[in-house]
Amino acid sequence: MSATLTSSAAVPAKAPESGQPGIRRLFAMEANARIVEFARTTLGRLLIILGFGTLLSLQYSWRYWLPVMLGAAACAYVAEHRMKLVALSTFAVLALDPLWFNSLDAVKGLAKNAGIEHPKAVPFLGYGATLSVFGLATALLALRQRFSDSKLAHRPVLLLLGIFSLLVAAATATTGHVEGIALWALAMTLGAYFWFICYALHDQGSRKPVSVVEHLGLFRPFWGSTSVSFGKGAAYLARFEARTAEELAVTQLKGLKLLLWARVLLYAREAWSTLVHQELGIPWFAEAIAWLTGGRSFSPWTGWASLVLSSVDLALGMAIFSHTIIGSARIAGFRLPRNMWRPLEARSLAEFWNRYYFYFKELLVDFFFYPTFLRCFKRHPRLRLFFATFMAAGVGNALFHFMREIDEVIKHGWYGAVAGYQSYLFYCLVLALGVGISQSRQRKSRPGGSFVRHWVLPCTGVWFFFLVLYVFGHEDRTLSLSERFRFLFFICGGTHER
Amino acid sequence: MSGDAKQRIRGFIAGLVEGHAGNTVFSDSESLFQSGRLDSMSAVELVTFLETEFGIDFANVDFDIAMLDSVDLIEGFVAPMLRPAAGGMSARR
Repeated sequence: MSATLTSSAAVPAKAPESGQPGIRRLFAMEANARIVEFARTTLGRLLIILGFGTLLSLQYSWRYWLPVMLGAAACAYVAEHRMKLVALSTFAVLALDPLWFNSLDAVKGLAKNAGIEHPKAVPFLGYGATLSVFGLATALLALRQRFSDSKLAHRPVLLLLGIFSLLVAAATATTGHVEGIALWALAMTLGAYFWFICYALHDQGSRKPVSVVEHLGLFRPFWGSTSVSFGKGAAYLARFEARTAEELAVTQLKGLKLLLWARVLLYAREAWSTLVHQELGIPWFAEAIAWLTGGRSFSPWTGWASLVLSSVDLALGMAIFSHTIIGSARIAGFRLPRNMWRPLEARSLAEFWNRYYFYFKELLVDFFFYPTFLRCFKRHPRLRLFFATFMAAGVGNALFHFMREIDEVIKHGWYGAVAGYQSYLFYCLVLALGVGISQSRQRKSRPGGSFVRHWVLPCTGVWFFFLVLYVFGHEDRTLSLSERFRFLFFICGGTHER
Repeated sequence: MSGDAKQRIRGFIAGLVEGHAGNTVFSDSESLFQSGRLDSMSAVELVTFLETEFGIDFANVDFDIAMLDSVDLIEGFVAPMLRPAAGGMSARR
């Protein structure tokens, strides 16, 4: 599990002089001194912000893109109050739509069953739950400050996991009652903010503590996020703030470029899925499994093609949303490293994670790998490294996703939720073993060997591992472990029969 | 912190940098991890080195790799732990 991306993934602080001609100059605009100079002018800044707003408006309603555009402009150009403006922008986006990342659909179902059908009921619950979680986070930050020497202060995940578990237990016990609706809304909202609170509690122990408002402003920041914090917490983000007008211009140009690239990938994804899915008739992965279980005849090669189609679609989707988030943060003045950086160049399983979903990997490293590595099996170096990797890629990964999908418990009950999760648990187990072994065997890179041995074989091995693992990692929880094994057996040359 | 200890740290990091990037020219204030000069495997090796060489126990530290991001930062982190009764941190010599 790596702690950094290569430096090329982060935005350089200065614009190097460039003598590149024509089209290449446009692609490397942040390296062109004249373009950077123009980006520092009032007109240049206006064009950057308008371009940013235009790109967002192609994808989102005005209720989202307009406050994000205005917030990013304020954060970028009023640098002395940047962190306060981040908080203000985050709260503004949240006020306009309290359910922008947390639809509470399962809670809507509970409310409907209880006869509560007022259209404002669930948004009101969303506001209430969010305010309650912010209140809880504020109290925990104060306690963290007050009892900084206690053992729990150094274990934010354990502390918060305890609270989350109690909340889920209470919600489970009251499901079917009116109070159960509120408790589930609270549990789902805490789940959505869980890792943001962990980062805030972790950062509270750093040398430069920040205000509670600034911490809260980074909970699902306005530039977008998943349950993973892109930009981690305040301490990490502070290291990537653009400090000068030139740094800001370079950062914004790279942000704009990343947003444009996300747009190109979006069109490519649409064209790709139309071509292979509609024109060539290759099924999506879940469809292929349905064909198999339904007894429909197709060749193992179609099964492989389905696997490739679906995994490429997943990777493109990941690139599009993560480039959009990082691009937006860069427009706001933060030189954040990219989330996805040339994943096909990974030569080991551990490196793939670093290149494919950097901020999720960082979350697992920060809250599972290091806490385990620094405490367990200190006298057994290989076991120590393997176990810490296993805790991150396996246990942490499984826990993260189960908490993220805690609404499955509302929909299917505990038994149904755990049963639906069995494939993902198997995925986590294999992934953890694979990455753990990969870490233990990792050797120093020795460039200069043959191209095939140094690049082709390792990269191909990594792609193949993740392609096969996708069979179990696919997030359709209705597909059972046995169905997935059957599919794998079939595409590897097994029979079509049960 | 003695100059000898800092030299040992610097020597160890030079070995890591050489193995990772093949270039041992770096200043004491230069970023090691955030810049991408060293990766996580190097971080793990560095932590192990600090544990064995200076007897530092990281178990009760709010660990963040950023606090070991340069020779100067490592020196600043290690020095208080090498003094007796330094803020409750354990240190074996």
